[in-house]
Amino acid sequence: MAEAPVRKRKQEESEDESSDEEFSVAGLIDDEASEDEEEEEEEEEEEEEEEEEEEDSEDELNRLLGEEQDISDVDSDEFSDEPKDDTRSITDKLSGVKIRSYSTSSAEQFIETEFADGTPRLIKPEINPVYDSDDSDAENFNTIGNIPLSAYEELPHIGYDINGKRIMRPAKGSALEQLLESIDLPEGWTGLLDQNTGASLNLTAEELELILKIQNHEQTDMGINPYEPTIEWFTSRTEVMPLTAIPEPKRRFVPSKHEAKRIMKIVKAIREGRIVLKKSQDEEESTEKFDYDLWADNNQDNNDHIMTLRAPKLPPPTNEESYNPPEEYLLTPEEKAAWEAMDPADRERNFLPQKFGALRKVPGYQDSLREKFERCLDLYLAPRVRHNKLNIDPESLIPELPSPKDLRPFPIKCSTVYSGHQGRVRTLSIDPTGLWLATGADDGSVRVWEILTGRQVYKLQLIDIAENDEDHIDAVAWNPDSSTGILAIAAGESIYLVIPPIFGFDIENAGRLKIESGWGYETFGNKSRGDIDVAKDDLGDDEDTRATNAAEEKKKDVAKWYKPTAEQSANGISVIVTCRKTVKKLSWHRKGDYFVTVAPDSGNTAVLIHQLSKHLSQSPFRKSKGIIMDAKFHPFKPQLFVCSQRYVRIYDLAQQVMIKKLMPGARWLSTIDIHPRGDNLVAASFDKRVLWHDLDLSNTPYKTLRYHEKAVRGIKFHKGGLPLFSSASDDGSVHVFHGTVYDDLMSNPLLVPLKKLTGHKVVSNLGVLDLDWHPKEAWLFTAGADGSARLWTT
Amino acid sequence: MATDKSQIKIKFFTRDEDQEVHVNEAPLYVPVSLKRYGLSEIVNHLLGNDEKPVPFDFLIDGTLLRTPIEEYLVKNGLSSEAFLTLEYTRSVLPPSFLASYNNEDWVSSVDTITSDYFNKNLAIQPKILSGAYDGIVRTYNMSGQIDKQYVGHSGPIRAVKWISSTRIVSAGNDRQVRLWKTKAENGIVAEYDSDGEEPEDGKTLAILEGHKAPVVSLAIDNPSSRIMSAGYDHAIGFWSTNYKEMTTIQPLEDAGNTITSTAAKKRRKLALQDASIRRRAPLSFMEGHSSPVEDVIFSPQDNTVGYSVSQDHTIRTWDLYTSRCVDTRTTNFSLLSIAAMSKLNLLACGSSARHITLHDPRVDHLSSASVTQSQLVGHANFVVSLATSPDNDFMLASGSHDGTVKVWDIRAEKALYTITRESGAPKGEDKVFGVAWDKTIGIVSGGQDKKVQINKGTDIA
Amino acid sequence: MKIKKKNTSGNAKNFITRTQAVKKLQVSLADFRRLCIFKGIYPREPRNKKKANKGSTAPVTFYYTKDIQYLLHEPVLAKFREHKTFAKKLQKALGRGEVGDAKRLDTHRPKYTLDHVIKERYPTFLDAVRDIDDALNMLFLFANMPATDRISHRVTKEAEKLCNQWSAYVARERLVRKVFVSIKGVYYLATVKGQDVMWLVPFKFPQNIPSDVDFRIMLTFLEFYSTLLHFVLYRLYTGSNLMYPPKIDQNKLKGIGGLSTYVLESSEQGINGLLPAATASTSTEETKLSSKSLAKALAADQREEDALEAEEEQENVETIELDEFKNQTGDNLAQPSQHGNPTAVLFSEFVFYVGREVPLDILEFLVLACGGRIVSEAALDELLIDDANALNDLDLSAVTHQICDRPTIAKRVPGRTYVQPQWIFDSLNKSTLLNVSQYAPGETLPPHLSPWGDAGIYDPEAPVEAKDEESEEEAEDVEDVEDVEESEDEDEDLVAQKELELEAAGIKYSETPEEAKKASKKRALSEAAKEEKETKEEKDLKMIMMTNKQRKLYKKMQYGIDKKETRAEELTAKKRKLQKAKEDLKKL
Repeated sequence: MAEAPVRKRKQEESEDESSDEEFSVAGLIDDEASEDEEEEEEEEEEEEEEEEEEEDSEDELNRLLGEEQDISDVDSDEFSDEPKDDTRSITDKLSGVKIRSYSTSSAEQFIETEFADGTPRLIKPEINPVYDSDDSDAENFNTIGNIPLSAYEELPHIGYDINGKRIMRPAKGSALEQLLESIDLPEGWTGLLDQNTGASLNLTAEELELILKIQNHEQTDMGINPYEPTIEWFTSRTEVMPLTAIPEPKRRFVPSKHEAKRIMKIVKAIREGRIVLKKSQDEEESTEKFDYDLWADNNQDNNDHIMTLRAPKLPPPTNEESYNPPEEYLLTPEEKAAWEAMDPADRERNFLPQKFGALRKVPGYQDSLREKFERCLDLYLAPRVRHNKLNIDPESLIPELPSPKDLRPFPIKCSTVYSGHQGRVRTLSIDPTGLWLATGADDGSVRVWEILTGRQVYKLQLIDIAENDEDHIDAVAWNPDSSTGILAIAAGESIYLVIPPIFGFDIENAGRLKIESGWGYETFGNKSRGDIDVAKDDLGDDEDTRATNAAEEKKKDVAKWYKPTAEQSANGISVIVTCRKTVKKLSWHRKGDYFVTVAPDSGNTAVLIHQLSKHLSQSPFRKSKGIIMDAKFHPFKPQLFVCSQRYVRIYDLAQQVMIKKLMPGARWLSTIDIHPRGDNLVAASFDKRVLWHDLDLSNTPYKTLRYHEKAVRGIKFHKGGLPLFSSASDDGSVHVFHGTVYDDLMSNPLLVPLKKLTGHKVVSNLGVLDLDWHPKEAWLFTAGADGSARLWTT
Repeated sequence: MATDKSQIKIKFFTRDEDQEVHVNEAPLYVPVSLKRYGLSEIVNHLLGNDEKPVPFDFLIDGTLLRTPIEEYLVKNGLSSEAFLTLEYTRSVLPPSFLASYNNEDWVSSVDTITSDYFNKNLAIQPKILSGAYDGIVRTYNMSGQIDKQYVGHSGPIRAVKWISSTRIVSAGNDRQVRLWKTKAENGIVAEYDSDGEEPEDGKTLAILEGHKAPVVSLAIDNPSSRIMSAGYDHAIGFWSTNYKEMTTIQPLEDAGNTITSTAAKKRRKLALQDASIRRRAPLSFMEGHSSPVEDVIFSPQDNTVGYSVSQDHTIRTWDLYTSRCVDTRTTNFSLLSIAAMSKLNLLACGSSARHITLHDPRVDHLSSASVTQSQLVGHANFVVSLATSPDNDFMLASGSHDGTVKVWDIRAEKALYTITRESGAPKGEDKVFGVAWDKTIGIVSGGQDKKVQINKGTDIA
Repeated sequence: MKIKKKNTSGNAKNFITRTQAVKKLQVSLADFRRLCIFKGIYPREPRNKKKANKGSTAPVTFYYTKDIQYLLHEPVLAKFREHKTFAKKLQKALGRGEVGDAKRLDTHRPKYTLDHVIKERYPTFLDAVRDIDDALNMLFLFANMPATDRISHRVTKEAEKLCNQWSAYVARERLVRKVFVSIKGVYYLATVKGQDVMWLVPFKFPQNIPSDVDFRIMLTFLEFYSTLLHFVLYRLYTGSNLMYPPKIDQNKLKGIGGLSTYVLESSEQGINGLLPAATASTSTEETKLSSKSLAKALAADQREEDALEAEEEQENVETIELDEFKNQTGDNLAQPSQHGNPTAVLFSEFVFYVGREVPLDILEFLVLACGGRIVSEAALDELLIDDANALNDLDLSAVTHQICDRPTIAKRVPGRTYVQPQWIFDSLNKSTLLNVSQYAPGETLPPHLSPWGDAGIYDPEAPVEAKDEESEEEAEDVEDVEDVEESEDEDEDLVAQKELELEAAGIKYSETPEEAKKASKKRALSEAAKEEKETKEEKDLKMIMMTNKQRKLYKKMQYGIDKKETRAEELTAKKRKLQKAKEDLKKL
């Protein structure tokens, strides 16, 4: 108590000394003192701060010190000043309290003071916390790991305590004090800076003492006395009564067989080398395992077996994967949703593109392990195939063909539309002079048009669709002989031979004569025919003798020829031939004396050959050849091409034998046409195919073209010497092809698609039903289901 | 306007007679984006008649400028530094629609008459002649009434022509060419037809037989009073306008064979119903084409030369004395019509390939590499009728199946004007079959819409 | 002739199903798997599965019979068998509780080596280098992985060691050519012995370990890869005559461990390099040891030290003039040749000061690989902790660039250029020094593009023209051109006529609406449309004449091409939209 005023004074001038003084006062106490002293320091720091901040707190402190006991001043002034942040204040109180608690232990237990009003006040000592509970080290502990205080130089704080609050920078003393410091080193000066607080780190006397002890290997703990009197439990003297007296058992002396056996075992093992002693450790083994050059023999030849396929490398990353990609790579929300909806297996990207402003913002990627794993699986589980990727220009696959421009002329655009028919126009034919177009439509009428102007010049109503709707006009065909304007019309079961009154008297007359000269032939029989026929052309006689010999007896009833009624003949009809079943196809022989008709559903009499000059109809076949779709004469040889659903058979009418059987390979042929040179044939099929047969080659198609979307209804060669053919389909389009046939057998025909003509509308799934070429020009006529026929010109 | 565009240095000049359309030929700069219209405005400005501008057309070395100047530059690979001299002429205004006269059926052919060839002094008001598919030849006066009807053809009429104000010749699908005569309005009987019988209306003077197929075109040469007819039987008939000059044929001689079909007899009767009318055989019958002949004309220079075009792509030149084919030119397309540009000595042929080709009959096609001089492209369908402008040597009118009549200046590769059908017939139903261009009447065209349409420009035709 | 037996030749003979293979080798499936992984044997896809599978079409995996045949006498296989028996014994021993025996047995655990396997699989060294990508990827992944119950710490440590050795070598030889920072990690491309080696280093973040990953497989791979990498590294090190395996001074590992230890070294080197000349002369020794930083390895060994010395001195000569080194340089290796490469000497004049917030491992590696030198703030911290006075008397005047990843820099040191790390990456890829202005701290960085470009044909750097209305209108014009085309010329004429009539009526050109021009323009583009329509039509026609095979092929190719193009178009459209948005923002 005596030097309380002294310390006061000292405190006023220099804190460090005062603290030392205090320690000197609280002289020799046990190691708990160390922490006490720490707290002291705390206070002093506080006081420093106060001083710097406000002076008045200091004289207040003096006053308190004046009236109170030396110890209590500490906490009292703790109370007096209001610290900035409560967390520290609490700890400070604690510390203050502690100080008092044990320092009083040396002094008296209670402290009687009196309150301001003079009533006595008894301050009881507080509970002394056990050593472990001391959490003084937790307070203001700086949590800026290895980052030195230098990082915080420009900042007001020196770091963060455990609960994230800033730790303010302790004030350095004024320059004078620092100078003083630097002059006389205070004892315990280490020159170190405290990592946490940034204050200078001094050693206390105790610590020094402790270090001293440790240095000369003394007990650091005061509590243990090394020199304690020994208590003898066992003495050297033997007792009268020993603690135990059991005799030694025998086995103590006799060697054990079992042990011997085991030892022998081991020995044997060692002898046999089953046990090798001193096994080297595998650690260093593992390290020195690799220190030699595996490829020391620099053989550069890599002789991979042909079957070995090296694992493909992973593709390099693309822009999308960048941490800072161009913005257009980022996905829109809906794209993202789609991506997430997709099954991870079939995403083409296994990550979502993201954009981060800076490198520090990039988070870790979570799936890298899985990706590597999948890579592993690929490496050893995925079958490898050598997939030779052909990097050729797809355009090079397109065959090199002459440009259509070089292959002119061919029809390009529609010039004339022949409109007037009510029903769909099923069939058309253009007369040999190329002036008149005949069309047959489902309205039961046949009309003849002027081709250039599209003017209808003649109409013949054959079927009254009102009472008879199952019959259609299925075929019209002009007689190839231009001197007789005969038009053959197949309507239902009957075939009409018509001479429209547009040619002028003499032509019509010639035609009629030609027809009418045939009357009466069927009455007097076949006997005379032979010699009569001899007069006729080559084809004529053989064909028709043999054909009729074949079809001797039922020649009568395959078809009947009738004279027309008066009003019919007034309309121009000159003969009516009625067959058994509906006639679907009709085509003339080039000489115009014969024409062949096809009635698909009349069995073996499906194909009929009619002779105009004798009003004679025969069926060349005895038995049915399946459903016949089409039949045509060879352009100049005595041959007949018969097209069934699957096959095209070629018969020699001279020898009455089948020459060739073509197998187009289509499921259902619709029609055929023969190249004017007679050595090539095109067939159209309902299953969208167009087949080009070279008759000199095999009986399979030379080319199978499949370009129509719907059934192909008609196909025709240009008969006027232009290398053109075209096909009409239900998809409403007409394709025009260039098809050159060379003389030498070596070179194959050249097919070039020229033009796709569109214009016909598709009505009830029917498009273009028939087509025909102008005899001379590259003009094409098409009959559409939309009730119109069209002329396409160059 | 378009000041930001690059400018080009040009000079205007004209060959026009009257001086007030002459501008000083100082070069000046104009934006290259200008078209005819803008240039015309500039010229008008220079001329100082802004209030009522005169439209001009512009030619750069002989070709008419239809596009902006820059397009022209690009086309001819000129830079905008080039110095252009533009010739300008009064532009002919598009022929405006005057009237259209109704007809019973498709009008296959039209012709006009405004002055009688033989006696020029004879003043006759202009008439229009039309042949229709109902087989009736009609004449209209300019007020649009049907003046006369000539009935007799048993098939559609394909061609009609005036011979004189009192004579008509017509031909049709019934393979006949008929000469008609009519009374002149003012009773004056031209002295040349001093044949016995009195003139009566709409009487068939003679039937000229010989063609085996429809006769689709006629050509008249008044000085020599000759007729040429183009037939689909690949032949050209050569006739006289005066039936006396031709040999008579008996109607039934053609049926040489004695046996005839039953039905044929009836047909014969039908053919002979007008047996009373005298029939004449052609002076000569020129065969040589391999396809239907589509059109014939007399050469404007000398009337002993005829030209014919046919579907077999050829133009044939006929010497009418010897009636031989002296020259054949083959093109790549079926030719459907022909007209002669007399001054330029060119033949304009309308083709099935939608364009008009110009041929010079004088150049030897063996020597000259190309048969066709140039092509006028623009029609969308057959060009079936051509008529040259009566006053402008460079212009012709063409009728086409695409429903338009186009007026061409052969110096410009594009059409000057397009005359569409005024009767709003649907597209494809409005084919033009015949066109004629008369000085006073204008451009007369007949077609599928059963109308005879008259267009007339203010200063053309 | 005798009848040929079925399934005795062709596919049936050449291929063998997995079950058959396992039966034939008489090993468990797991062992078979490991064997396949070691020997690099993989399933095949026979041309005709049905034939190969003797007529049945059940889904099975096929192996090439010869492969299996050649597995039959494989020493490793024998070892496996031994191991099986050994395992049985051990099990028995343990079951009996005979611990001693078990221990003894355990010392006899059969071990197999993979050297010969590697030699078989990679007959030449170049093969090995070519296929080292996977190895590196795997090892770098595991180096970054925490040791769990399934992955022992030994494995990860081993992996880390190998990775460091690899990157040490690459950095020392300056082989890095490309770098790409992706969201998955950092891709490096190095040219080693003429082979391009690309590997991915994941970011130093804790991996999440999916439960369904079978680690036995991965560890098997890892085992093989590490062996492979050992040998490759040996060859590489000795090739540029360094000692392999490099000694490790353990006390470095005591510290924070991992790369940071090397950071320490390198940094201290960097600093010492910067000490004033007097001190430098003393401290250059360890400067040199540690100069090629990542080299805990390179540090210790003497020979390589010399090599480094040589190199380092060269650098020093370049950077800080220290004359006394010149005499030593005489007896040393020639400079590695590839320093001719622009990227190798890209940063050779620069000293980089790497901020604390920047991932040091990436940048240090790159900078050193490009010949630069590096001072890391973290290192300074360490130094500060070690000896403060060293920190005080070192001057960072030689620092040319400071790499920092902060929005703002509190106090800038004059004479330093401040850049964001991406500057390093981009200029490395371009192998030229880019303009730093875009990369200044706080700037929004330009997009970081992959040096391997785009997946498709899209080029993000291509400028997009601002698309205006006309082009769209053109687009729809093309559609309806078909019907226009017919009456096109007519329109022209009619326009001309209209003009004439107008003019006749006395209306000036200037007053007329702009129809004329529009018409002509429309015509022009319709012409173009017509053109391309015709060409297309012609092509379609030609396609008719293709054979089916060709057509199918063509379709396929076309499909691919179209997909690429559509993607590119989409991207450009997006870009355009974004640009528009930006411009609008600017306007506002």
